Amino acid sequence: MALNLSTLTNSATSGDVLAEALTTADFLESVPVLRNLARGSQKGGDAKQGTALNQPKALPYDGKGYLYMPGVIGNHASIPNPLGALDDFTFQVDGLNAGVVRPASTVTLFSQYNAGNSSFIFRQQTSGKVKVVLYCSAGSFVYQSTAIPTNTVGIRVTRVGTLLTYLVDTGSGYVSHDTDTVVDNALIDSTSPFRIGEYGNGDPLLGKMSRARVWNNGTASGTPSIDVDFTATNVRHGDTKFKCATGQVVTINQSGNDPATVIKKSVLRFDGTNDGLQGLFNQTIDSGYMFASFSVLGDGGESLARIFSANSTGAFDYQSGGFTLRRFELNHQIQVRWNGGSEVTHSDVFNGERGDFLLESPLRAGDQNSKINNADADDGACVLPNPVSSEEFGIGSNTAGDGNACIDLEYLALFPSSITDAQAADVVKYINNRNLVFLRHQTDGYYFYDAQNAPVGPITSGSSAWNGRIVGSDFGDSDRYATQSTANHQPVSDGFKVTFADNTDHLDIPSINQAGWQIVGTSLGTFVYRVNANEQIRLNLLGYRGSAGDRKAGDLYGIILLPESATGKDIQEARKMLIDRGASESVTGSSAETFWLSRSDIVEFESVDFSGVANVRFGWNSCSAMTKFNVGSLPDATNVYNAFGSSGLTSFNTDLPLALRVDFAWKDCASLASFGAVDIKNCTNFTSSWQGTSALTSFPAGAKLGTSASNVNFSSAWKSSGLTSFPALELNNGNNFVLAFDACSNLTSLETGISFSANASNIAFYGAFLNCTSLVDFPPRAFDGFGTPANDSFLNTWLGCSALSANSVENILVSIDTSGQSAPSSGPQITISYNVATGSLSAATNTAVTSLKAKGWSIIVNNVTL
Amino acid sequence: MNDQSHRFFLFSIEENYNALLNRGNEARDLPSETTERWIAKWEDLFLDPETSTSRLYCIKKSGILDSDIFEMDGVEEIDLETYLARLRWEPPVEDDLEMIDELELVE
Repeated sequence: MALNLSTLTNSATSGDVLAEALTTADFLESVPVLRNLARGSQKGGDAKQGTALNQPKALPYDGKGYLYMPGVIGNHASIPNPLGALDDFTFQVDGLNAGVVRPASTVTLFSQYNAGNSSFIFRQQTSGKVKVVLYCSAGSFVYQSTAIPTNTVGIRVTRVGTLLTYLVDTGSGYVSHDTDTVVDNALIDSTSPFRIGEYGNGDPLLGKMSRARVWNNGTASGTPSIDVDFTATNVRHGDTKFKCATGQVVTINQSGNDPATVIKKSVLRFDGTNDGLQGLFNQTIDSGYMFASFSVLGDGGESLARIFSANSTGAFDYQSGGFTLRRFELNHQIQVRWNGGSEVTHSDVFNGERGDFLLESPLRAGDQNSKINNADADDGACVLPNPVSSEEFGIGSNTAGDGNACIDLEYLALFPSSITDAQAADVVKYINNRNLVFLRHQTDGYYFYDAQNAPVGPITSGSSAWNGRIVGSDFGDSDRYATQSTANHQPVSDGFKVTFADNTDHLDIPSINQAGWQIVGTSLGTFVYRVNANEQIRLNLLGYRGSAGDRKAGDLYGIILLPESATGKDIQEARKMLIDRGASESVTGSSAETFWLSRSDIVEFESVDFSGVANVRFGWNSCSAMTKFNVGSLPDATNVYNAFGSSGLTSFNTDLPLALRVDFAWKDCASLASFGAVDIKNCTNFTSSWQGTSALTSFPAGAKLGTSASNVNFSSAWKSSGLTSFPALELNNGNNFVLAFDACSNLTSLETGISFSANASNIAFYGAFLNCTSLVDFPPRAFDGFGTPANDSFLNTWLGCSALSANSVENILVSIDTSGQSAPSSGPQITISYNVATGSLSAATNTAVTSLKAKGWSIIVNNVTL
Repeated sequence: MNDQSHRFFLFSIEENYNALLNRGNEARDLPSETTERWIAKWEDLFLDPETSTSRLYCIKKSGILDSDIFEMDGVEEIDLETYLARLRWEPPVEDDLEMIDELELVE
């Protein structure tokens, strides 16, 4: 893989790229030469190591991923007690390297073994024979195949009754290799862990494996009992815990300076004892700008372990003319050594706290102010003077081979010190986009309550508190302990997730009043909110405190707070990380009732898939600061009762195609100024839906309100809203408009074409336009298809409409008369107020009055019965 | 949270609840009621929306000792369904009453 720097800098500034961890080396191959991929006139030499013992080894990414295991006890993957008693079974391992097939000493593929409590061991022997040890009530039994081909990449063993079959895959699929007649007793139901690459304390595997599976049948059919797939996309480079395809939590156990590692990107492993590469600049350099991405392994290596160093010919890097970025003695800090002077620049590096990280450092006279992950800057503290004068360089050690670092190197480059800040930022972006070295929270996140870092057991205080600190983050690198002093309220961690059991469980956190993006990964869904700067002192499963009695139960995988400047990409990467760790991507279950009730911190609610969620009752009610709800649809929501009431929404554009009730849904959303042409066609209950939406001046003509339902209730639907006009909606399925537009004092007109209740019966309109004091224009034909009226149907319907025109009175009465409906048995009044200054009642009005009276109606206009 | 894992209560007498709390703290040898406790302080229980005086609360069975005595005045054990229903209790909508008042003004 060649690094194309042309997109970053021009040829004149790309001259000193030193190295990149190559992908061309084979697995575990010792690397004698690291090619310098730089181009241009300033190109230096390759980095070399002529002594085989001192050569770093390659762990190249194969495009899919694998678990590397070093053949050292303590390095293996494990799952606690995942299997019952196996009868017929299938064992299978894939993605093996040749060294596993012909190991130098016997290796364990996987096992469930503990002395006196064992189920099986699946091993590969030096002779190439597959060995299976089965433990059952009758005793332990050992079987082995003939030697399998040296080019085997996968091994499968099946037991059906007494027939044990060994199958191998040499790249073309599994074929039978050998058989055995075996005991057919059920295996012992061991409570020991399932271990990949080790059994108990023996036969550790040296090599790689991409997948391990166990089926509780002999045909490898159906869902396995265990499926640990290191190629799965949710498994990331360096993960030490992840949830495998069959749901179990897999732990990568690590020990020593060559630890078992999930490999998802190419690294060059330096052993921290004698590995190192050296080279020549082919010129004398006086400065540079270095970028290196790597992770620290084990104990970090030797005292003063070098990441990168340079020296004058015949001198050392710590002397005049030389420089180095190195470990400070045996501490966990980075120290810059420059021209014989020194300065400590970063902490918590050589203890492995930072995982993979990207170190960038200007190396020039008066400026060695480095950053890690685009953060943790020295802020002018590192200003060692004078230019250096170096001809030789070292990677992972100095040029004398001392100061050996224990690291996995992913990338290293040295640019001229003349690159601009913008160019340096581009290099960082380039490296991170390609290698995914760090995420935004590591740069300037405020906290990350990472369930994998939670103390196991109830979260209490002291050593059992949960720290949200982000090492190295500009805004988050200080202790932020979440605690809980009431025993009954303590969530419980298993080291992978934190379980909130009921509505009492919550955590107290140090006060924070920081706006930003909160990303919350849970078993109920993974949610993103923009939050305001309100002071917060508590965490619940779904984020900050809302309604205490409505706290939710479930598993928490992590909560992150990113700065407001985080991009959509930053946010989605954080969300994806939590999902990869086990959080549900979409909302689970059928109910999100009261999930975010009274969350006054949420400003913006980002999109998430609500498929399958039928009940969102009170979901976002009283989210008083929430101006935006960016969910395009609640596709299966039937109960939207009071979901957004008293929230701060300024607009709403979410389809509710299956909603059956949206009563009170947006009631008292005083800032709601825009309501989209949303689909709510199946809904039967719009009671008080938009009541009190004082900023809502218009309503969309394209909205579908109960158009596919019957007996739809619009009582108080737009009461006291800010409507100034109302479109010609099709409201023919409505039969209850009681107080529907009551006190809409700004409403001046309804659009011609509106049609009420043509498909309804027992229709109530009393008080529908009561006190619409600005209503002038009521359109014709609105009631032409009107169905059977209820008692009091038009009582007080237009009472207090003091601006209503005489023509509107005509339109109302003529249309009701046109409907042909007789007055109800009780409450036959049609009550209208109108503005007499607009004229006297027309002849058509009088004709309609006469006709209506003949049908039993009593028409009252301006308090006079006609 | 279910009836197998939890017990659900409606507490109506603060003094008796505090006695339950304090006795439980002593039984668990918690160092100080002000820093650690086995169940919440009275003011941190969930206010019963229907009465606005009594309190709702659930306790994990795993945390209950044999010495915890709940049989006293002002302690009513309820089931999960009742617990949730009471937490979600809403006052009746008053629109109809309001409308009637308005109608009466006219008539």
